[in-house]
Amino acid sequence: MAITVHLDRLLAERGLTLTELADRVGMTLANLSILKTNKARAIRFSTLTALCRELDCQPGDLLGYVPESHEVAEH
Amino acid sequence: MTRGKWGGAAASSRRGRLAPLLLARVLNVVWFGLATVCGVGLVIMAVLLAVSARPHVSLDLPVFFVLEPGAYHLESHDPGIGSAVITHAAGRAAFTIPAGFGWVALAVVAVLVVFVLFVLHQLRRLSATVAAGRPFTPDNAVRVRLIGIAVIVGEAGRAVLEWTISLWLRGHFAAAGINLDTVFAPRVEVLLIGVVIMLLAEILRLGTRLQEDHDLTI
Repeated sequence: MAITVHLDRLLAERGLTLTELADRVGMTLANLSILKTNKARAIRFSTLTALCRELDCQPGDLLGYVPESHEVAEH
Repeated sequence: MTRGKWGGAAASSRRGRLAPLLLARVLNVVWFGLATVCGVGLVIMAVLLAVSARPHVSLDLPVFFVLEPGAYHLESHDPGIGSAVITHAAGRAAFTIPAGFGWVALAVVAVLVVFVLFVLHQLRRLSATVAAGRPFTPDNAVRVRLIGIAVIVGEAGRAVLEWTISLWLRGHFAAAGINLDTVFAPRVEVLLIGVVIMLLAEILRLGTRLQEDHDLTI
C-alpha cells in the first residue's frame, strides 16, 4: 500500500473514537474502518473534505506516501 | 423531496428484481423437482435391473441414417417437379440387449443427470445473486465460465455418445439400402454459444473488479 491513511494518529491526538467520527462525517463505521485499515482503493474529495473538516486538519496530515520498497523492507 | 426520490428509486429497484426473484424461485423448484424425480427414477431403474430375472432389457435410441441414393424417393404429383431423393433420415431404434448392458446405459443416464443438475445448480446460484442485487461477484464469474465450459463439453459429449451408439449399432444391425450415419458431428452453433458464454464470463469478471473498486471507494 503506497498511500497510507493516518486516521489512527489523528483520532488519538483529538481524543475521538472511530464511531464518533463516523457519526460526525455521516459515514458508516464499516467504510471508515476500510479507510483506517488502508484497504480503500480510492477516496472521494467529499469524504476527504468531511474528514478534514471534522478532524481540523489538511489532506496532507491525513494521507502519507510510503514507497513500495520501504513497505516491503518494513515487512 | 430527497426521501421521496430515493424511495422511488428503491421501489423501482425492487420492481426490477421481481423477474430475477421469480426466475430464482422457478429454478429452485425445477432443480429440486428434477433432482428428486431423477434420483428416485435412477434408484428404481437400478433396483429393477438388480432384481429382474429377465435376461434382456429394452433400449430405444435416436439414430441417424444415410440412405443409398435412389433407394428411397418421394414422387411429386406436380408434373413440373421431379421426384425427391431422400439421402438422410433420423429416427429411433428400439431393440433388446443383454441385461449387463443395462448397467452401462444406466451409468450413462446417471452421468447425464448429474451434468444437467450441475448446470442448473450454477444457474440457480447465479439467479439468486441477481435477485439479491449483487451479481458482480468473483463466484458468479466462475459460475458463468463453468456454464460455458459445460455447454461445450456437453455438446462434445453428446456428439461422442451419438457417434459411439451409431458405431455400436452399425456393428450389430444391417439393412439393405440403409447405413447408420457414424459421422462425429458436434453442432457448431452450440459450441459457439459456449464460447459466447465464456466471453460473457470474462466480461463479468471485469465487472467484478469494477464493483470491487466501487465498493472500496470511500
